[in-house]
Amino acid sequence: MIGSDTIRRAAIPPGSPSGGGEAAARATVTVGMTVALAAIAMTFAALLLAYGIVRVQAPTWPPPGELPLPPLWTLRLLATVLAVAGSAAMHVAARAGRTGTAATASAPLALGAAMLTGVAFLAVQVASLRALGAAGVHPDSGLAASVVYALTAFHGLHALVAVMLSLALLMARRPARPGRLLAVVAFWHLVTAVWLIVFGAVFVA
Amino acid sequence: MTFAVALALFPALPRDASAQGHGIDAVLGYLTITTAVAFSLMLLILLAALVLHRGRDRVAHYTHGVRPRDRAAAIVAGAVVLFGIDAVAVVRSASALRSGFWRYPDGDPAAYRVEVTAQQWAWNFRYPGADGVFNTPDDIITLNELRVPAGRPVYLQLTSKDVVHSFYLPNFRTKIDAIPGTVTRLWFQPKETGTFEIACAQHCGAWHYKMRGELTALTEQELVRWQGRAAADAALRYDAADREAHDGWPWMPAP
Amino acid sequence: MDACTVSEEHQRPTDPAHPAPEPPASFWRQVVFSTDHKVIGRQFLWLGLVFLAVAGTLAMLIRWQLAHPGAPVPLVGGLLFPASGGVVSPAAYTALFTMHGTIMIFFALTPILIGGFGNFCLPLLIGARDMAFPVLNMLSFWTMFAATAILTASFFTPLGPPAAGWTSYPTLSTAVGAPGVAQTLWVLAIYLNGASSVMGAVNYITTVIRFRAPGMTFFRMPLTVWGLWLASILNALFVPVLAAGAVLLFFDRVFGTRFFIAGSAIKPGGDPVLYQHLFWIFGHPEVYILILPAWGIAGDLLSFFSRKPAYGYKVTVGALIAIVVLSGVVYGHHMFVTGMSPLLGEGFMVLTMLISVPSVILGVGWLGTVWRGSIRLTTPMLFALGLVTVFGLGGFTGLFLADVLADVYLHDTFFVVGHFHLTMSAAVLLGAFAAIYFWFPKMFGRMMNEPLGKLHFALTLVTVIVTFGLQLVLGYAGMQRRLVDPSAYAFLRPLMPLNRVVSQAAFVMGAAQVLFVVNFFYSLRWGPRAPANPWQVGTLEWTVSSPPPHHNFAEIPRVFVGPHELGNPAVKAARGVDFQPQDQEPPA
Repeated sequence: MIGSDTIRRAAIPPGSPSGGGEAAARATVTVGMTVALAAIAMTFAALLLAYGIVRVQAPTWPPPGELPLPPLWTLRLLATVLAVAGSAAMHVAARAGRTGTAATASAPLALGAAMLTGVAFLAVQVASLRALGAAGVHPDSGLAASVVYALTAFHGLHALVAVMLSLALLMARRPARPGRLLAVVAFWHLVTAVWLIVFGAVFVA
Repeated sequence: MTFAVALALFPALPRDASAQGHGIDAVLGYLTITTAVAFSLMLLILLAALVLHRGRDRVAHYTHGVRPRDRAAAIVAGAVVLFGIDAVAVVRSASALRSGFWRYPDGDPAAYRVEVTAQQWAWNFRYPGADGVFNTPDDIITLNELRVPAGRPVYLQLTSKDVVHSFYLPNFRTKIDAIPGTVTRLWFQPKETGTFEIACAQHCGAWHYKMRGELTALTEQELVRWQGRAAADAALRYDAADREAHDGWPWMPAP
Repeated sequence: MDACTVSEEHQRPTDPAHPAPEPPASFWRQVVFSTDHKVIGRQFLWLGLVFLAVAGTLAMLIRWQLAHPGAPVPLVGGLLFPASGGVVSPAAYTALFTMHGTIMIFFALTPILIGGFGNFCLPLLIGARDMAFPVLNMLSFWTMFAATAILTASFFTPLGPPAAGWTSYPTLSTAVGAPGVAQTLWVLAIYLNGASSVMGAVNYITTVIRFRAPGMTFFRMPLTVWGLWLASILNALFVPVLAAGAVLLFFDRVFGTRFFIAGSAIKPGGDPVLYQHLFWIFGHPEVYILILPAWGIAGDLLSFFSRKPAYGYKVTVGALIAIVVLSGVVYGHHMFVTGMSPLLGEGFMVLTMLISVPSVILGVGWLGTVWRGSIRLTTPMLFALGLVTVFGLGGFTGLFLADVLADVYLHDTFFVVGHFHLTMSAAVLLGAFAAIYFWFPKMFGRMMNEPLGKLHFALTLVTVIVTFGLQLVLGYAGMQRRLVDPSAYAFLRPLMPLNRVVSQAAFVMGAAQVLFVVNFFYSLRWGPRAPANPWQVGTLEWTVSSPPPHHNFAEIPRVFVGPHELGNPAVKAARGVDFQPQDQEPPA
C-alpha cells in the first residue's frame, strides 16, 4: 500500500538486535489488531446489550402481540457450521503463514477455502432472511423480528468485509505479509465468535 | 465576580409554590455557596501567582511537587471537596428525595390523581370523575389546563402519544419525562392557591416552545365547584364511538 | 511491557545503506492522499477550523433569535431563510441548534484537537518517525471527509436539515418525528465520523505503546501525549456504542424495525429510552474524550511557561486515569428524569460526584505548577490559563447536575447549556487556540503575532465567561433549552433582557475570532521565520527544525529525562539555559 512499507522500514531500522523488522512489525500489528477487535467487539456488545434490555423488559419473548418467529434450525445450524469451518480454515492459513516462509502452498489454499465458506455463510444468511419474509415476518413485524433482522444484517456486513479482506489477501502479491494475514485471521475469528454468541443468545435462548 | 454571580442567582429562582421546594432550594443554595467559595479560592491563588510570580527576572522554584507536603495539599483539597461539598450535598439530597420526589403517595387516599397524555404540542389531562376510575364515561378531560387542590398531594401518571416530552413545573422545582409506550409518575403538593405555568422540557419538535399549560391550585370549595361544571360538560361531550378519545388507562399500581 | 525491549528496534541510528526515505513525488500522494502524519494532521486542522467557523455562525443565528425573537436576521436573513422573510422559523431554529451541536462536537472539536494536534504532535513528541499505521491514518482522514460531505448534504434535503437535536432522541428522530432523508443522512454521517475516530484511536494507542523512542518511558511522556492516548482509549471503547445506537436508529428509519418505536395497542414495539442508554454510555466518555487532550496540553504549557516542572506529574496522570475509569460508569446522570429507579439514581449520583476528586487534584497540579514559577504570559500560556479558569467554573457547575435533586430542577435548562459550554469551550475555544498558538511555529515554520494573539485571548476569555456564565443564571431561573422563543412563557419574559446581554457577548465573541483568522493567515505567509525551539522547552518536537523534515528525526533520539525539566539550577549552571532537552544527557 502507498508509503506504509517505506515508513515502517524507516521507523524500524534493519539490523536491530531484537531480530529484525518483521518480528517488531508483527508485534505492532498485534497491538493494533487487538484495539481494533476490541472496538468492533464493543459495537456488537452494545447491540447485544440492547437486545438484552428489551428482552428483559418484555413480559414474554416474543413480546405480547407478536407472532413467534420460525426457528429455521436447518439454516441457522448450517450457518454456524460454515462459520466454524471458515475459522478452522483461517486457522490453517494462519499457521502456514506463521511458519516463516509464507510461500508454502497451504496458506493460499486455506485462504481460498475460508473464503468459499464465507460466501456460503452469507448465502445462507440471505436465504434465512428471505425465509423469514416468506413466512410473513418482516423487520417491522415486531421487536423480536427487529432483533433478528438487525443482528443478522449487521453481522453479515462484517462477514462480507471478512470475505473481501481474504480476497484482497489472495489477490495481493504473494506471499502475504504475516502481519496482515494474522490481522485478517483475527478479524475472521471475531466474526465467527460474534455469530456463535448471537446464535446462542438470539436463536437458542 | 463569582460572588456577584452567586448573589444574583438567589433571587432568580421562580416562586416556590410547593411543599417540598424548600429542600431543593436549600441544596441549590448550598451548592452555589460552596462551589462559589471553592472557585473563588482557586481563582485567587491563580491571580496571586500571576501577579507575584511573573517575569523573566524571577527564578522559578524548582520542584516536581512530590514532597510530602505536596501530596498533603492534593489530599486535603480532594477531601475538602469530597466531604465538604459532595458528601453533604448527597446526604441532604438523598434524604429530600426519599421523603419527597421518590415517595409517591400510593397508599394515600387524599392524593388527587390525574392522568397526563402529552402530545405534539399540548398537554391532555384526564380526571377520573365522580366514580374515581379512569377511562370511564364520566372522566373529565381538559387541554392544557390542570386544576388541582392546594394542600393535598397531586399524583400524576404520564405518557405520550408521539415523541418524548417532559412535564416541567418551574414553581414546584420538578419535572418528569413523558415517554410514548411507557407510564411515568410524578407527584407534588401545592402549598398555596394560584396559577402556575406548565412547560415542556424535552425537545419535541418545532413547536416545543409553545407547549405551555397552566396549573391552577384551588381551594377544596372552588375545586368541587369546578368539578361540578366540568362533569356536566363531560357528560355532554362523551362519545362512545370515539375510540381514540378513550386513551386513559387503569391507574398503574406501585411497581 | 519494558520500555527498553519495546523500543529496541529504534536504538540503532538509521542504517546508511537504508537512508530515510524521500517524500513521495506526485501531488496526489504528497498533498491529497499523503500518509505523512504531519500532512494528515494539517488536513484535519483545516477541516476542523472550517467547520468551527460554520458551527460558530450557526450559533450567532441562534443567539440572534433568542435576543430578538421573530425579527429578521440582518444582512443574511433573506438569503438563509427566504421562506420566512429572513426570520428564523421554528423549524429552522430546531435545525440550527441541532447542527450547531453536531458540528461543534463531531466535526470541529474532534478533528482539531484529536485529528489535528493528535496526528501532528504524537509521533514527534514520542520520538517516532510516523504513526504505526500511516495508511490507516490517511483512510481515517478521508472517512472523516466523507462524513462531512454527507452531513453537508443533509442541509439541502427537501424536508430540511436534521432537527432532532445533536442527541437525536427517538421517537423524534425516527420516522415518527422526523420524516425525510436528512435525519438518515445525519445517522450515516455520525457513523462514518465514529469510524474515523476509531481508526485514529487504533493508530494512536498502538503508536504510543510501540513507537516511543528508547528511554521514553510512560512517565517521561509529555502530558499532551497522555491526554491524547487516554482519549484514544475511550474513543476505541465507547464510540462503538454510539455506532450501535446509530445502527439501530438507521434500521428503524430505513427498514422499519421497532427498536425505538414505542409500542401501542395495535403494534407492539420497543423502548425509546433504550437509545438514551446507548447514546449516553457513549456520550459521557465522549465529553472526557473532548477535554483530555486539552487537559494534557494545559499541563504541559503551564509548566513550560512557568519555567518549572509540572507539579505532581505522576499524581496528575493517576487523576487522568481515574477520570477515564469513572467516566464509563456515570452516564445515568443524563437520564435522571426518565423515571429511573431511586437505587440507580443514587448510584449514578455518588459515582458522578466522585469525579470531582481527581478533577480537584488536576486543579491542584495546575496551581502548583504556576505557583512560584517565573511566569511568561505568552499567548499560548494565556490560553492555557484561561482554559484552566473556565474549566474550573464549568467543572464546579457539574456538581449541581450530578445531584439528582438539583438536576430534577435544572435538567434541560440553560444551566446545563452553560455548564457544557464552559467545559467544552475550555477545550476548544481555549485549549485548541492554546495548541495552535503554541505549535503554529512547528507546523508552519513561522511565528504568529503576539500582540494580536493577546488581544484575541482577552476578548475570547471575557466573552466566554460572560456568555456562558450568564447562561447558568438563565438556567437557574428555570429557562429551558431549545426554545425558539422563550417569551412564550410568562415566567421567562423577565429574562429576555438577560438573553439579549448573552447574545451581545456572543456576537463580540464571534467578531473577536476575526482577529485569530487574520493572524493565522497573515502569519502563514508573512510571519517571521520560526527557529527550531522558539519557546525554549525540552520536548522532542523542538529538537528538529520548524517545520520538521519529512522523516521527523535524522536519528531516532534517545530520551534521558522527563518533558518538564525546567528551572533546575544544576542544568542552568551546566548548560547556561534553564531547560533540559529530553534527548540530551542531564548534568551529573
